[in-house]
Amino acid sequence: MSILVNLRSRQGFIEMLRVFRIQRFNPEREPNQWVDEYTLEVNEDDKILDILLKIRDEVDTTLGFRASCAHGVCGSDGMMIDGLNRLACQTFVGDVPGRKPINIAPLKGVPVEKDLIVDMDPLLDKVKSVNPWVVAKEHKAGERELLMSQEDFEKIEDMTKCIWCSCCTTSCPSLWSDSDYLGPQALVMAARFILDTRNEDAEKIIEKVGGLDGVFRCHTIGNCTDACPRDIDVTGAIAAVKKVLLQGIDNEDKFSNIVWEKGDEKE
Amino acid sequence: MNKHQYDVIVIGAGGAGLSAVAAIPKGLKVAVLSKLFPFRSHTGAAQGGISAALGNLEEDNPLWHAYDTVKGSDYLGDQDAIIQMCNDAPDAIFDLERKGLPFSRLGNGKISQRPFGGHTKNWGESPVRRACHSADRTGHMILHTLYQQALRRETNFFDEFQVVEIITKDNSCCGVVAVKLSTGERHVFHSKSVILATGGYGRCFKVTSNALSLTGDGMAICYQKGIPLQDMEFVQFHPTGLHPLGILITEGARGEGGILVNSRGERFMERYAPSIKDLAPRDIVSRSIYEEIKAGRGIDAKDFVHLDLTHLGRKLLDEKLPDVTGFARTYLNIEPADEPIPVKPTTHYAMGGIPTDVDGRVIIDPDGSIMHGLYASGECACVSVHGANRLGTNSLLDLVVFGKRAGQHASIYSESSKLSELPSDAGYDSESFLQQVRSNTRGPKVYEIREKMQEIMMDYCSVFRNEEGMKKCASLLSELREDFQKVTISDKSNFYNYEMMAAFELSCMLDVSEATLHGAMLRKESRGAHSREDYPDRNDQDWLKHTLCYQEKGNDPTFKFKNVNLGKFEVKARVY
Ligand SMILES: Cc1cc2nc3c(=O)[nH]c(=O)nc-3n(C[C@H](O)[C@H](O)[C@H](O)COP(=O)(O)OP(=O)(O)OC[C@H]3O[C@@H](n4cnc5c(N)ncnc54)[C@H](O)[C@@H]3O)c2cc1C
Ligand code: SF4
Ligand code: SF4
Ligand code: FES
Repeated sequence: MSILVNLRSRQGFIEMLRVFRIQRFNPEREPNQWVDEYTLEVNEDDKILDILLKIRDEVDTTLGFRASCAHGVCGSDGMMIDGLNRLACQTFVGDVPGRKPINIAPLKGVPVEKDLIVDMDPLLDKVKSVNPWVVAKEHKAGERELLMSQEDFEKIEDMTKCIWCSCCTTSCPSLWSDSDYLGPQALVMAARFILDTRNEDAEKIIEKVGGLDGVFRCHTIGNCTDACPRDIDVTGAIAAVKKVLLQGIDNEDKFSNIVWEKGDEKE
Repeated sequence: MNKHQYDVIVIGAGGAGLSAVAAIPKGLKVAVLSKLFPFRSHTGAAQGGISAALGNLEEDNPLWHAYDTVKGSDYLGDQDAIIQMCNDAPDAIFDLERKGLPFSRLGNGKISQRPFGGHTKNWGESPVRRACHSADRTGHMILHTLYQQALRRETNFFDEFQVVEIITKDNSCCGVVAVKLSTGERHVFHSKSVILATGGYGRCFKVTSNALSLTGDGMAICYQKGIPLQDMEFVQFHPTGLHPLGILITEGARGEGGILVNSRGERFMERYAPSIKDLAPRDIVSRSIYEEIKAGRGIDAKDFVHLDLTHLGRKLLDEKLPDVTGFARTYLNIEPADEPIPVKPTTHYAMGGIPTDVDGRVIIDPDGSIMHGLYASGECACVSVHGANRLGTNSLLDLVVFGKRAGQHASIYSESSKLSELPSDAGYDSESFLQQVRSNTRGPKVYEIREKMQEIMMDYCSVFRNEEGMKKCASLLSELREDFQKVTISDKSNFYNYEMMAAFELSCMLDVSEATLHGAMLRKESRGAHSREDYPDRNDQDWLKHTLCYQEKGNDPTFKFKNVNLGKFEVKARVY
């Protein structure tokens, strides 16, 4: 199917016509995926998400995709745009250079439910399987914070930015060939919680990622880092996990688990 | 219809819903329903910080925090609730820290704090560093930390279930009806108590920092059942939305030293708030920006001003404000270390909402009568700690403090009560609504009505309001409500039918817009974020009171008034 739509531009003038080829799937209508082509009048700085919203509002209301925040912080709209995994709300028409058609497809390596909506469960199960949480002593009224140095915070800061969009895991060739592999998203979370000096359960995570489907399946191809919309050094995080497995945790434990009681001297 | 039974169900999995979950003892049977995956909730977008008088860098105390909050609220906030919140704040922060929240740190290993608008020391003397933060991703860390802990507790999540109706019987609530997005099936969740934590409704307005999903669902489904909405006329417009998109640049940018300048390069906030300047509360800064624009001093005489961060240096920007500077680069192609950022006010936060007491119990009249078993917390609720204007960083605090209290109280209530029988017409209203939408033909499409509503609310009911404009808006809005009766969808399937849910969300937005607009027309004074050109002064004599808005099907809503809890801090003129 091919349709011409007029996208009202923010600037009030139209720069060009572009073709959007969207991969569709709707098992209620058809057993196989197909491609719909939409020709839109657009500007270089139109967001791909706005184009999808426009199509869903005005042309084909059955078009399936997820979105919420519309500015790259919720992780809903990871998809493959012109062959690369990215967030539709952070990708612009001008990011696909030239005048060629812009291909939009769902994330790869996981079951597609409808159009651009994939089944998130297998991806989330992987993340959940590494115990992605801190186990610290319960907070009691009157107790202050556990101390942590800014350096120790910075060791994990990059990984804490992860928005669980799964762009990395679904771009990983190791995962495509072996769906049991934990994948980069789970490993970033593992790294984040192993290296958190406050976590008393880091050893449990280490056990979980050292196994057959764990970190040594990674061949450092680096697709994941390129795909990450949060600019997380994904391969760096995986390397950190490998290092811990080979050498043990290297936390200087400067401040961890020291509790400041109420009434302590402030400086 | 599928049926489920629980002791407590929580609707919404943002900061408020997940804080409630954390407070429910393990012995109770709990389910969490959310139309988004929990970690997609808009709490994750909060940037700047969460306030608590920890005094990690300088002297501070909870009463100063309370004083600032009362003054920031233009004296409409309930002082007992505010004192409760500010007293609970330090423990709430330490609790989040123990749950694993990665706060930015100071040299001595304690949590870092920075200044924020309206937060002062010594009763308004000068800005104080009170906002705890994790770079400029505080909300993201709160959301993910709470979700991680909920996973650790093996919480029962129903993701992508959209609640469309609450079930009530004789002033008590006994469950909800939800639609499973992937199948369109309707599910009845029968429970002893229900906690609503569905967030705000910024999407009623054209320019907003809010997610596409913030459509006022929780408020509207209460309103439809005769529960009032409180203080809906108070909507916060954040002064620094990216022009023209409305994406937020945190007030933390000014906390770190950023300044607002007009076309003459003048730091105009020095004129409007001489003592705290760019760190004045949001209502004041937003109005000041519009005053500059009206006087022709917008940049290039257009409708925006500049937020200048260039003097802060790239290192500080990268360390303290990495995300927001990233937004400027991504969405405007601007390098904030070298050039100022174009900004204008953007619809941001709902001070009003479902009225509750300090335990999250939903109140249905001016005397404080309770809807048993029903709780609300977070942005969808109105306790009221924010009154006529919320201070930055106080919402995240509100979520964790009152989310927890609602969770605790709902648990106690559920432990001591029996599951009441469902009424025979349970789910009838939403069923007939969905049927109606599905069977309409040849009417307007959802987006056509939505776009018009967003435009008129922005034009006539935002930073400045007046009788004439709002009257016009009211008649346009009721026309849209008429049109909505005939709204037509073309997707008739049950399979991820977003169009159907968009129609439901639009019905919610029309309801909460109605409450907001009529509240704004009724309140003939200017207070906090509600600024009437025809009544420019605050009028404590007649209007130092909360409004409760009741829906009258087919007619304009009616109002009752509730007293403000005063007593601790004297009501004074609000100058900064
Ligand atoms: C850009 C931005 C920055 C901000 N920065 C700050 C800050 O620095 N400090 C601060 O204190 N505050 C800040 N705020 C305000 C604060 O973030 C919000 O008020 C707060 O996060 C709201 O949390 P919540 O839990 O009430 O709702 P949300 O986090 O919005 O969650 C709503 C939940 O309800 C669910 N839901 C909604 N409707 C339904 C339905 N019908 N059925 C089922 N589930 C439903 C959603 O799926 C979601 O899980 C900011 C707000 C924005 C927009
Ligand atoms: S670096 Fe490892 S995890 Fe990343 S894409 Fe390559 S194999 Fe996959
Ligand atoms: S590491 Fe990056 S790409 Fe992977 S899930 Fe997290 S944010 Fe997404
Ligand atoms: S819509 Fe939230 S990341 Fe794109």
